[in-house]
Order: sequence, then C-alpha cells, then structure tokens
Amino acid sequence: MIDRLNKSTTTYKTSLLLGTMGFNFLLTGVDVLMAHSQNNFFRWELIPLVFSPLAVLAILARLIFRSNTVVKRVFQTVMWVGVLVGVAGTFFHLTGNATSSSESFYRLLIEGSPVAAPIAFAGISSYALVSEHYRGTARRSKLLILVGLGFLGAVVAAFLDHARLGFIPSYTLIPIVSGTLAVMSCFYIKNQADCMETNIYLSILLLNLLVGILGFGFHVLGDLAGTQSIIWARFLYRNPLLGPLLFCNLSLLGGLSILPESAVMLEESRRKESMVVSST
Amino acid sequence: MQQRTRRMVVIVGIGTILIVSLLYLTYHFIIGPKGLQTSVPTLSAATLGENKACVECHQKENPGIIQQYHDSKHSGSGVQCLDCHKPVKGQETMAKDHYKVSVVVEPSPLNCAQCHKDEVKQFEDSNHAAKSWYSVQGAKNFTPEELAKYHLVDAKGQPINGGAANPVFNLIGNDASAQSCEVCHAIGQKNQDGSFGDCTKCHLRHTFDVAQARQPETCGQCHLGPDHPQIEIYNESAHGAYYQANKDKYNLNAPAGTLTVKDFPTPTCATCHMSAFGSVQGTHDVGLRLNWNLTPETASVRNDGASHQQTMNAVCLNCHAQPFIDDVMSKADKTITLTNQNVKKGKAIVQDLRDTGLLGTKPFGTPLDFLYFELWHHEGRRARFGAVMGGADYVNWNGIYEQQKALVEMQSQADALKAKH
Repeated sequence: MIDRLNKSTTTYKTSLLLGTMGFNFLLTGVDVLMAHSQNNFFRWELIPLVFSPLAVLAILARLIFRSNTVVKRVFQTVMWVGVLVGVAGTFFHLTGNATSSSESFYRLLIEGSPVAAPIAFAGISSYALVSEHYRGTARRSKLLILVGLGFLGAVVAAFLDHARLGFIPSYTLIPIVSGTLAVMSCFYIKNQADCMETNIYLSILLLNLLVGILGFGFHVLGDLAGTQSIIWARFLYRNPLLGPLLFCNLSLLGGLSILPESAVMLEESRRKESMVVSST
Repeated sequence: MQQRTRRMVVIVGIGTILIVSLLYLTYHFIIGPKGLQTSVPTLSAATLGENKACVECHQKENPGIIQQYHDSKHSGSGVQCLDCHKPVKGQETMAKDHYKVSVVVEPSPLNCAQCHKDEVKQFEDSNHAAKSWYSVQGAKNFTPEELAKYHLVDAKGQPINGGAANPVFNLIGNDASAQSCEVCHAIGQKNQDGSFGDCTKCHLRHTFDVAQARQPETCGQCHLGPDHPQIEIYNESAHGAYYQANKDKYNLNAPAGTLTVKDFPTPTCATCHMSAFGSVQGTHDVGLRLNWNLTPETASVRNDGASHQQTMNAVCLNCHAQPFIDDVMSKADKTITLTNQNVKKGKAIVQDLRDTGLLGTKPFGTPLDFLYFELWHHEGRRARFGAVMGGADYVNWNGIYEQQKALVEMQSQADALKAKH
C-alpha cells in the first residue's frame, strides 16, 4: 500500500506541490483578511488581499491547463509579483512601526505589526515557482532550501512573537528549538541523504508537526483565557491561530519536497526541454 | 551508529545550539526590552503630491505637528494629511482654500468617521456628544430634528429644562464661559457640518495616541473640580492608588479588544467605562455601563440602568467577587438615595420661601440660591460619585457632611427671612 501511495504521489508530485501552495495562499489570504480588517484595509493594506485570490487562481489555472504556454507565463508573473508583495509587505510593516525619533528594536520588531509575517508571500511564491520549473534532484535541493528558509522564517516569527511575553512560560521556547532543528536538517539533506539521515529528517518534521498542533492548542487556550468567549481581536493581536500551524504546514512541505521524482515524468520533462532547445 | 548518521546528528545539533544561542543573545542585547535603539524611516516619510507640500511647509512653520504626526499610528498605517483634512460631504461651508488646496482646518467627527464609523456612532449616542453641549448652551442653535435625535426633549416633546441655557452660563457670561464651561463641554460642540463632537478632546492631536486616551489624566482634564471631581475621587480610591504606584506595569498600548487584567491590573477610567475588557465589548458611549444618572438635581436610575449595571458588573468581576460588588453597589445606592433626600429637603426650604414671596425667582439672586445650587450640583454630586467610585472622603467630608451643613445654613437663613417679614 505504501508503494502504491508512493507511486501515485510521485506521479502527481508537481500537482501536489502546486496544490499545496494554492492552499497555502488561501490560508494566508484568510489570515491577512482578518488582520487587515482591523484597519479597514486602508490603502496599501489592500495589496495582499487583492493578490491572494489572484495567486490561487493562477495556480489553479496552471494545474488545469498544464500545457498552455500563456497560462504558464501568467502563473510565473503572478508568482514573481508574490515575491515582490512579500518584500514590500515586510518594508511596510517595518516602517509602520517606526516613529520620527530613534526607537528601540523592541518597538520596531516585537511590538506593532508582525515584521516576519509578509515574507510568507515571497516564500510560498518561490516554492510554487521552483515546484513548477524544476525537476529531479535540482528541484528537491531547491525545495529543501526553501523549506529550510521557511522554517527559519517560522522560527523568527515565533521568536519575535514570544519575545513579547519575555518567553514566559518557558515552553514558548519549544518551537524555536524544534524549528531550528528543522532548519539545520533541511539544509543538511538538501543534497543526497541515506536512509538513516532521511529518517532523522522525517522525525524532526514529525516533531515540528506535533509542536505545531500543541502550539495551536496553547494559542487557543491562551486567547480564551479569562474571557470564555471568542473575541477576534485577541486571536489577531494576542496568540495568532495560524502561527503554530505554520510549523505543521512546513513539516508537510518538507515531506512533500523529498517525494521521489517520477522517472517517467522526469524523462518526459527532459525530452520537452531538449525539443524546446533544438527548435530555438 | 553509522558515521554519516553521527555526522548529521552532530552538525544539526551543534547548529541548533549555535542558532538558539544567537537568538538568545540577540534578544538579550539587541531587540529585548533593554536592547538597542535605531532610527528607521516612517511610512509617512513617503508622502506624495499635496500631502508632501503640507509636510514640507508645516515642518518649518509648526514642526511639532509634523513630529507628532510622524509618531502616530496613523502615520504608520499610511494615513496622510489630506485623509483627515480634506472636506467630506456636508463640509462645503467649512472648506477653505489653503494654497490652492481645499482643506478643513478643524476636522469634525464626520472626517474621523471615514475610518472610525462605529466609534463615531457610539460617541454620538453618548452624553459626551450633543448632550454635553446642550447642558451649557441650551436649545439655542439646535434644530427640532437635532433635539429629537439626541433625546433632548421631554415626554411632551419640549426641550429639556425649557431649552434655557445653563444658569451658570448666564451668571458668568459669554467670555468667561468660552474659557471655562465651553472648553470641556465642547467635547460635544456643534460643528458647521451638523455633526456634534470633537474627538481630539480625548485623542489629542496629532498623535491620537490610544495609550494617552486610556490614561485617567486625559479624563481628568474635564472630570475634576467641585462639581464632578471624578479624577480626584479616582486618585483617592484604591484603583487610583494602585495605578499611581504601578503605572509602568500597565500595557496602555494593548490593542483594542485584547485588554485583560495583565494589561490593566486595576482599571483606569477607560477600562470601566469604555474599553473592551475580558469578555465585555468596548464602546465609545460612556453612559452605556451606568445604572444611575447622577448629575441632575435628583439622581435617577437610567432607562436601561439594570442591563447597564450587568455590563459594568462583568467588568468588575475580572478582579472582584460578586458578593463584594453587590455590597459596594448596594451601599452606593443607599448613599445616592440619601443625597436625593437631602436635596429634597433643601428644595422644600427654597420652595416654601418662593411660595410665600420671600425669595425671588431670579437665578443666583440671593445667597440661598447659591446654597441650594451647590447642595445638589456640588455636594450632592460629590457624594454620589464618591459612593460609586470608592472615594470615601468625597462621600462624607466633601459630600453628605457638606450637604447637612448647607441644610442647616439654609434653614437658618430661611428662618431669618421669615422672622424679618
């Protein structure tokens, strides 16, 4: 059964990766919708809200119209725009926290708008671009670098968020340690890895999956504490719901990234590339 | 364990330790509470077009405005000068040509409502809005529609208090009133565009800082003095004493909707009367959690007083047990009733003299008029506010005791008047 599962996922690896990125854009869009609704989507805050559904549509179109060149170009353009959206968002969040006088890094990076959040757009877009464009060990290597960077971003986000509490209680350090383990292991196995190394890597991913689920539980309990009711401002400004789930998401992506490449698909891909080269 | 496996474990392990250590040092020395400072351009530095001209000119003419603006959350969100100062619908008469740009010099709540619609609506329904202005100016400058809209008419559809201006306003005159009563009561001023209110009374421009608005000192700009000494009462109370001693522990900047006892170990004015706290929803209608109407001659329970009290109760429960709350509230009810009884006695003395023609009807014509006025307007209110806000000294020495003393003085003067005639 595992072999059959392996074969089917291998065959549809690209679709699986792109579909997961589409789902990521959807969830990120929902997160941004909630966050930016607090300021009534004032001016620049509309950008990610407009971009997210476009990104989802671009991925869907790419999945459906596999061999259409126009759709491919549109998809790539939208994804590159996503990278710019992520970088611009980081800039906006940082300058949004600034004042006219010298401010502490604490105020700039920890209080105020989450500086580490917008770069997720750049990460998801890059992952989608790599998934679509590359095959074989090149794709595996690049995807693992991106997952590693994703875990690094998640670690930084958790670090800055938990720094607001002064890392009290001490279990707020757990995602920072587990996330860093994941970063190191992603970069370690980005080239070839033997069976044991892969198992260690997968164990670390599993650890992060559990950390994410546990964190989600802690965040929900923290938001409800002392209120016994759902108040959205607390979920937005106190313990964000989707924050811990990022670790689960990255663990899943880490697993998908090391799925074996289909030999048949790989051969077809190489043949197509050589045909393109010879025709030019 | 194979060599490759061992190598992976060592490299990943050491790398993790190094990175986590680096993060710890970064927090401790750079980005933590005792970390470094730096200067980063604000988003508002990237102003465009006409807004750029505003900043360039006013940077030279009134640098304080620009500094405050750059420090504000508005600036951080990309709000620019003309977002607030450009005329909106209804402000045609307010618009001025300012170097070829049409601007509103003093934005009204209509301008704020472009983004803060709910808050403005709640504010409009409150005693801070039209009612505040009416209590000084009377019905002058109010249209019949406005009187009806802001509940400034009695059961017969007539303006409250006959529509007359406040007798103190008449007593001290326009010029004094412009620099005294009207300064505070202008929180509900009538604007040229038909709106009522001035948001900047609490949200001081141009920082419009929420933290500043939440501080009791902000409310204390107006809620002070012999007739409504709420800030004095608060400072005397346990809430106020704790606040004074532990101000730096308060998270005054906490985002709206997230406040808990961790942010506000004891309440400030805003916490009890406005803020979303625990599971209680926030509001800019400052009367929405009040059971009593304490300011008139005779204090009375509001129309929805019981449900208002339930909401206030929910705020109190964050720190106090129900029996404690019930005890305080029931004692306060008794004190308020006592002030009403004292006012009634005073009124009877004055009315008796008026009925027998020994006292004229001209407001503030005799010392007795002042004594009666202060019986409810000063001493009565002080006792009432002290009762509900934990100001023991104000309940007695500044309240009930002063009322009793005034009643004795009034009776003595009344007897003297009767004896003379």
